[in-house]
Amino acid sequence: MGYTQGHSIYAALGQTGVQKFLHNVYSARPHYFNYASAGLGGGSVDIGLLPALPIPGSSSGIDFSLQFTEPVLSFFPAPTFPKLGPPVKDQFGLAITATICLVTGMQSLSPRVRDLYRRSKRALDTPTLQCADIKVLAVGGLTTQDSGTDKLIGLWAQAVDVSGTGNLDPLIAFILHQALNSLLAKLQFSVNNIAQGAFAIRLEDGPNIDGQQLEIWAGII
Amino acid sequence: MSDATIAISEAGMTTLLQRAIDGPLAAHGSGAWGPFIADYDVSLRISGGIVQFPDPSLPPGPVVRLSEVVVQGTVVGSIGLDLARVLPQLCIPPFQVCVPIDFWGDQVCTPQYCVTWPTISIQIPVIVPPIGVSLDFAILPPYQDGDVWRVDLGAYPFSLNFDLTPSINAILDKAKQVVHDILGQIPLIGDLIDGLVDTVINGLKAVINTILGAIHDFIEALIRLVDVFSPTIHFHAFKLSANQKILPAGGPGDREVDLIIAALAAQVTTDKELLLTTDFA
Amino acid sequence: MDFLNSQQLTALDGYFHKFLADGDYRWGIGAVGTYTIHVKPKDPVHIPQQLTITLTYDRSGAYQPDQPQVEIYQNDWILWHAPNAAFSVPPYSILGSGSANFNSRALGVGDMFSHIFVQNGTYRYMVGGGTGGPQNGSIQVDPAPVPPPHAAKNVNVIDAAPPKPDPVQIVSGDTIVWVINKGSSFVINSAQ
Repeated sequence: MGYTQGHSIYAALGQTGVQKFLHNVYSARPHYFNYASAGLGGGSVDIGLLPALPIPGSSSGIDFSLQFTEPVLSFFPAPTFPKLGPPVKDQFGLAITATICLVTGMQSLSPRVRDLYRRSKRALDTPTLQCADIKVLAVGGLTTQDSGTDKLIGLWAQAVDVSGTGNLDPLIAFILHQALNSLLAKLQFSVNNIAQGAFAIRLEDGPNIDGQQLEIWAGII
Repeated sequence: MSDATIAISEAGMTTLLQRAIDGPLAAHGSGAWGPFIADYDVSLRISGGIVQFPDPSLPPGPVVRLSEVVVQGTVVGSIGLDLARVLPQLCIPPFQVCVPIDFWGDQVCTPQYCVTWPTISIQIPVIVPPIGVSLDFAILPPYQDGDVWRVDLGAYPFSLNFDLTPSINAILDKAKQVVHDILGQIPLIGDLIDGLVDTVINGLKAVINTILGAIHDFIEALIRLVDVFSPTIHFHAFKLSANQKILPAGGPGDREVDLIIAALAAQVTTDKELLLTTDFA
Repeated sequence: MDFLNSQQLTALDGYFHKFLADGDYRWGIGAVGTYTIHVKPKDPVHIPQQLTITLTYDRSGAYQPDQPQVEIYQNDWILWHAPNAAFSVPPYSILGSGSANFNSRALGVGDMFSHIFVQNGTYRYMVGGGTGGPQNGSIQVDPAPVPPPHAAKNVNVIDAAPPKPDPVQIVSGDTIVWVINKGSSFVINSAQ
C-alpha cells in the first residue's frame, strides 16, 4: 500500500518544506511579525500598528513594540517541550521568541549641550528602549476550513508556555497565545497547494501530522 | 527528508492515463496498387488501460506499465478496379472464323465480338478488431521547462500486432459478388463467369494483402502519434509550477509568498507507487 | 434477344463490301468522309482476299478506323467491324462513294451483313427492300455446348424470294452471314 493507503494520491509537506514556507512569509510579510505603536514606527507597510500603553491616571502613553522571530516548527514526532510535553500524532511544536521593547525615556544630555542646541530645530531626542525577550513554546494541531470547492489547512496553537517573566508567565502566555494564533491564522494554505498543482484533487483523508510530515490523501478530480 | 512528497497509486495513474488516451482518432488515405485504386477513411477509438508499477528491483527495472488498452474501429474503404487490366482480352469467336463463300472467295473471315471489361467499384468496410496494447514507459528524469517542472514518460519502442486478415474474406466475398454481377451482365459470359471471377479474385487477393498491410501500417503510425504511445514524443505525465504560489499578494505589505521548486525527482517504488519528491529553494 | 438490324451496326455485326471496280473510293461512318480506299486493277497473281478494318469508339464520341487509308486489289473485299464497342454506344453505318457507291444501310450485290448471335431463342427476321416486298426468315439459336463450335453459316438473300436456307439452326456464339445474291436496297432486321 505504501503511502497512498488505497487512495489515488498521497501528498505531504515535510517539516523542512513548511519551515521554508514560514521563512518566505517572514521575509515577504514582516508586518505579521512586527508591531509597534506609532512613536516606534507602527502603522507603516511593514509594521503593524499598536496603540501606546496607557499610563493609568495620566493622559500620556508609553510607546512599545512587539517583534516575533521566525518561528521554528517541529512536526510529530518532535522533541518534547518542558511543561507542554511532546507533540503527539497530528500535533506540531513551535518555538518563537517575542521581544517587547518599551520606550522608557529620553536620553539625558548635559544642560550645557542642551543650551548649545537650543537654537536648532533639529530633533535631538532619541528614545531609550528597554527590551525583554520572551521565549514562547507552543504545541498545536491542524485546522481545516472549506473554501468553495477547496479546503484550507491552517496551524492552531493549542497550548502555549512562556518562560522568563516570573509571576507574569501565565498572563503573558495568555496574551501571546492569542497573538500567536492570530498570526498562524494568516498562514492558511490550500489542499491543492500540497499537490503542487500537478493535478486537481479532492481531499479524502487527513490532514495528519506524522513522521514529520503534514500529510493528506486525496482522489483525482 | 524531502521538502514535499507526492505519491500516486496505480489506480490514480490509471485515471490520469485513461483520460489522456480517451478519444477518437480519424484519418484518411488513398493509394494505387497496380490496377486497383483504394480510398480509406479510418476512425479509431482508444480506450481503457490499466496502469501497473511492477517491482522496480526486478527486470525490466522501474517502468510504468500500461496494459489492456483497447484500440478498435472501422476503415471504410472503396476499391476501384479496372477489370480490363486484370482480365485477358476475351473475343467471341476467339479467332476469326473463315468460311468460303461463293462468288466472294475461299476465306471470308467473319468478325469477332470482344468483351469490354468495365470498371467496378467495391465499397468495403474493414473492421479493425479490438487490438489489445500493452506498453512499458520509462520515467524520464524530471526537468525544468520554462516556468514548469515536467515529469515525462517515454514509451519503449514497440510494434503493434493485430491481424486484419479476417477482413480479407469479407472483402473477397463482397468483391466476388460485385464481379459476378457485373460480368453476368455481359452477353455470352455466362459459362465463363466462374473462371473469370476466380481470375479477378486471385489477382485481388495479393493486392488486398498489400492494401491491408498499408492500412495496418497506417493505423500503427496513427496510434503512435498519440503522445502516450509514441516512442519519439514524450508524454507529459505531470507538470508542477516551478514557482508555487502559496499566499497571493494582498495589499501593500502583503507580498506574494512563494515556494520555488529547486529539484524534483521521480521514481517507481516497490510499494507500487510513483513517487515525486520535491525540494524547495 | 439480340438487337438485329443491318442499318444499325453494333459490336456483334459486320459489314462486307467487295470492290468489283478499281479506282479510288472515299468512305465514312454515317456519311461519306475522308477515309480512302485505293483499289488497284486486278492482278492475275493476286487471289481475292479480305481486308479487315476495325473500328473503335473513342471518348470524343466517334468511331475511328484502325486504317484510314488502304490499298487493295480489284475483287478484294473489306470487312468493317467494331469488336470492342460497348452496347451502350450508338450504332454505326458505313457509306462510301467512288467508282461505285456502297452503303451498309442499303445492301446490294457485293455486300454482306453478318451478326454473331449471342442470346438464345428463335429469331424471326425480315428482309426488306428489293422488288418483291418483305421476306421472312427464321434463325433458331440454341445454347452453346462447351466448348462452343464457333461456326459461321451463310444465308442467301435473293430478290423477291425468301432467304435461303431457312430456317437455320445455330448455337449461341455462331455467326450468320447474309450474302446478297440479287437485288438491291436490302435491310435485314428482326421482326419482333
